[in-house]
Amino acid sequence: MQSWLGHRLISYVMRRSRDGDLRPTLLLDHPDVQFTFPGDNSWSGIYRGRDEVAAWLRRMVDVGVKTYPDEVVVTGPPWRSTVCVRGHDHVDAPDGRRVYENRFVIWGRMSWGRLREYEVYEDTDKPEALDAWLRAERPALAG
Amino acid sequence: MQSWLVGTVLGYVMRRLRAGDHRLVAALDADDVTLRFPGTSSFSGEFHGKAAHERWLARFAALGLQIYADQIVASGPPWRGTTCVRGTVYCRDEAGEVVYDNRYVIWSRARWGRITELEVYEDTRQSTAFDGWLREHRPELASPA
Repeated sequence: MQSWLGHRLISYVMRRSRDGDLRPTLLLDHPDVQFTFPGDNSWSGIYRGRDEVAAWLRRMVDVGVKTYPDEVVVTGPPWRSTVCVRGHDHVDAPDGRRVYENRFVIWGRMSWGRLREYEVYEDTDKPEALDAWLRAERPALAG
Repeated sequence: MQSWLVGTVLGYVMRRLRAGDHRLVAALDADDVTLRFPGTSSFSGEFHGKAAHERWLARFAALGLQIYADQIVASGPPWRGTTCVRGTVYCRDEAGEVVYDNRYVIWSRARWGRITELEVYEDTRQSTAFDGWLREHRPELASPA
């Protein structure tokens, strides 16, 4: 039941993000949220606080990264729950060519409905390739 | 409770794997198990069936990779259970220096206690760099059997 509700919620906020509206995603973030993205590319790092996470997410939307949840698992009590999202994402160029495609897991810790911490696990070669494409085609968003 | 039970079993089989015995992990596999490992390293690919997964695990154990689970989350009914494991994995050379270090998630599906699907998510740059070290220092294990 908990995972079913989690899937509904994550599907909704990701759908809104795909449409460019980050408000539902940011409403889930605690003001002191910490977000970690792996690798050594322009997306990598540890982002602390809602403002830093919002800037990262805004760039993701501007670049056109479309994120979809495939499966969501939520366990634990409301004051200390774990949220695991497995999904896939992609970027299509203006001519329709798929220039980025990846699979990911987001592992998060929630407290009373707010995300306190989340971390992405994914193939880190692919965002590097996306960086190269951005530098060539969309330098303003290359980071 | 479900996560605790699965965690106890996985804690034991990972301890055995760290000691070089991969058979216990392989014993949990369904005949039609599939493993997906990301990236383009010698560990990457899609491996179908128990025998292919066991070969992959045997190389993992022979390399002396030390895998630990930090957190385990399990949900779903016994005929379609999902287990997510987040942890760390590393390898030391003979001098004790860490030559590979990574964080991972394994997302797995099980049916009546047997694993049917495993997918690994991790920083693939680290596994590619580890390949480079293996080619230089342990060429006999640098490629899959």
